[in-house]
Amino acid sequence: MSTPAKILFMDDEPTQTVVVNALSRLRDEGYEIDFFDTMSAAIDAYYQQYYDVFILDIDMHHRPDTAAGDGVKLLQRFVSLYNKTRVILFSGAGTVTHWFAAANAHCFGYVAKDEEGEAGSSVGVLLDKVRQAVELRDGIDPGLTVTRYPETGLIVCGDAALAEQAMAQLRSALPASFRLEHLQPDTFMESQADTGRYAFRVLIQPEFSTRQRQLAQIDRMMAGQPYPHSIVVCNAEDSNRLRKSILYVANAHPFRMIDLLGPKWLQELQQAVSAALLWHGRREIFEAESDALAGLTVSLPEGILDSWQDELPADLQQELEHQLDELNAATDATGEYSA
Amino acid sequence: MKPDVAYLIDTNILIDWACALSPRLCGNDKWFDAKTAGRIRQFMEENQNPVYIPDLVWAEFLGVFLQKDLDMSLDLPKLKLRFRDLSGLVDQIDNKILGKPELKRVSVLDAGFIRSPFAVADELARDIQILSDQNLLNWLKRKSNQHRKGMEKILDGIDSALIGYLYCLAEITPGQKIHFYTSDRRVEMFFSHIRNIHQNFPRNTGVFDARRPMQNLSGRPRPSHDLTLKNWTSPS
Repeated sequence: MSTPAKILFMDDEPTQTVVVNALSRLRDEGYEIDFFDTMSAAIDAYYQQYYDVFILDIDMHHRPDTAAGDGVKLLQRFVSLYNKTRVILFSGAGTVTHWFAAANAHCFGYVAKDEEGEAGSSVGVLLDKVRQAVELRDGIDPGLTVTRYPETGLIVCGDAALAEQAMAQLRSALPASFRLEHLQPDTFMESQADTGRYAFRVLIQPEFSTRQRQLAQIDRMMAGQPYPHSIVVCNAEDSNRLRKSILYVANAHPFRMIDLLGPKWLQELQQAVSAALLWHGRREIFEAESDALAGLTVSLPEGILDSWQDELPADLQQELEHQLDELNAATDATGEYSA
Repeated sequence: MKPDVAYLIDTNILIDWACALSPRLCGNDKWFDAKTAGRIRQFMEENQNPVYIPDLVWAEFLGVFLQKDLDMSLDLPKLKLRFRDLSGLVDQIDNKILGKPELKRVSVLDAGFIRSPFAVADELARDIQILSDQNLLNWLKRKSNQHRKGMEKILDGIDSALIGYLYCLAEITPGQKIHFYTSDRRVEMFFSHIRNIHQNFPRNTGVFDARRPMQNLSGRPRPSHDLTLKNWTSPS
């Protein structure tokens, strides 16, 4: 029988109605919640307790403290320390920059506090996300078998000029033996399931609608990851018109989201493809910052190094050094080390 | 042109590397030496020579690190917390290995070995001649009397298999000098003896103890601590 899921919930406005409702509904569902209203308290708790799910606010300015950054920074820290960490951002203040950054740090979910979806209010959407995360905790991780990737990449793009730019950039970086295929979005949707055929998939589209066919295309693109990983390139436009579709993409767990309006999108695409190849078939690991590692309190049992290491008395140590240097010098003199 | 010097690492090198990343990991262990761990971290992260990591070493590292000595007095959340943090450290090392071309995993399946390292290990572990060097045995005896109540070990655990990997790797890369890089003094002490009694053992092999000082007794730098030297010629 599985234990109740434990959730770390961080928000700087504990009396905000949507936060109060979220806490109440989560507790009603049987989750154990630890609530923190500062970032530093949430960071301390990370090292002291095991949590199945993290729910983080982004803007913490109502309770400033010693910890720098925001909820996205904390997401990056937690995921770098353990890449199976499932973080849901729950925020009313996020911008398109946050949505992209959160997706690229592999957030499990991004729920806007004023969002309304099929599950009803934002609290309903949040609960859905938490349930999904907990189901994964109790399920089987598919990422056990790493396979070699086929030397073919897929670009899905309805704009021939954009597709050609992307392909030219990638051709210059990939080995000559690598093939790139270009499909129109409609053709892609009509094609057979293809996850095993490609080393990576890239979807380039300036804007997405929230029509069913469009969302199905995004879902199809993301299916089967990490065999292969999927990258989405679209406009990072901070507008209410595009917010819903961009958040949909961010919540679909792309390997990378790249801003098509950015001046370096082609270079970013190239880097993303390199990373997708590096992590093909696996969940990406980010390098943790040294201060994040320094917070770890875990220790190995005393004596675990005993199998290999032991101290020698000074005379024996000195004798050992002499013997080894003599041995090495003798071996060198015979020419045995020569190539 | 191939670099001239390469290393094959022992499991203890990965343990020390992890300890250097997270200072409290082995902080209470009387065998832990932070200075050496820092040097090993530098060796792994800055080495410009190829450093081979056998699949067997990785498997033993995971076993020792994640699966050994689980504290059953802990409740499930505490056990999971401990596992999460240790697993996260393994991830960090995995990430560094993947991101640095000089760090190369060696799999027995696709390394292109001419023979099985385990067949070499079989031969080594069963060879009575390993006990034939009286000087080495005296050294071991003195050491064991003071620290291990008279009991010692030579090629225990996967040691003979790793020497087998060294044999097989050196055999297929005759242009490289492959050094076994370890914190295990017994292996270092017995290595030359093993090579001498097995005349078919590839000559382009060596061994270095990671805990030895940067310089030898003559004041010359030990090659294992030179991370930039690609064409090492032994000091005369």
